[in-house]
Amino acid sequence: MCLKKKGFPLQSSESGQIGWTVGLWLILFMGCLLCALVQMDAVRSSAQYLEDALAASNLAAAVIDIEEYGISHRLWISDLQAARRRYEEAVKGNLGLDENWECGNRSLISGPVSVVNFTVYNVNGSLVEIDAFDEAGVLSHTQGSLGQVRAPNGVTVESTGIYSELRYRIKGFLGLEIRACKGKLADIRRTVQ
Amino acid sequence: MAACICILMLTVLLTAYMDSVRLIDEKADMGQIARKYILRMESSGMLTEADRAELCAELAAAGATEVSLEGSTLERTGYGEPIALCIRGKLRGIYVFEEKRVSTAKF
Repeated sequence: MCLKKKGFPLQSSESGQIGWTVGLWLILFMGCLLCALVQMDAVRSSAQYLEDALAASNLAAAVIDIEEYGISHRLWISDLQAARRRYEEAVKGNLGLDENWECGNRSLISGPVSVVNFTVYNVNGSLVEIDAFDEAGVLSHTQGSLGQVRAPNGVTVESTGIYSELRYRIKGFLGLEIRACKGKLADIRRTVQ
Repeated sequence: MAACICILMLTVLLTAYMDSVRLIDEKADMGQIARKYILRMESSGMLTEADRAELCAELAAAGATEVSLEGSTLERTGYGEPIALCIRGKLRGIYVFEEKRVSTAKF
């Protein structure tokens, strides 16, 4: 009888402690899991945002020579330096970057964004003129056959267009930083009305 | 007792999670609307009066309030000239958002 009196409160206390321990661990686990899921959702959303910004900036830079179009009906980006300048301005505007190419709030994109590749593809009949600016802004010129030329992301070049690639850092879960790269090809097509 | 408190706390966590995800989705919707209208602006060289009204209606339907288009290109620009669409407002009347899109007129 004496043992029961001593033992019962001890058993009740152990059971309560186990319940609390399991419950708190469950809450902690769920908290971490949900935080990670929210972070993943934010990263997915920002990837979509970046892709849109890249496509919009490529299109902003893709200003064809209208005189050339009027003469030969050819879609031709003649001023490469102006195209790159337009692209840089558009990227800054679309991503909300400051003069140092850094994102204002740094909530997700941390550190400066850099243009790794900016390539203009001018299609002239069955020939593709390729003018590529590297990360340092050095321009190189090559040629290829239509249908054979592929942009660095693997997409076949079918008409005049611009490919660009950005490199940036993403701030992840628990302050972890990941280096990321995103490239996109935007081409110009004539529509017959 | 412990189980009840834990269930309550888990419910709070799940509600907060769902709220955050919904907010991210709403912000993404604003981005898609901005994208749609900057493409329209490219072909017209400006944000026309009709597009402005339609844009405001779409933003309101998506849950944006106190919408301002200050800084957007409202006057016609020439071919190759820069155009901008700046949308500022509030989501759910609390969270301030800003969507800025820049391109060039193909008009």
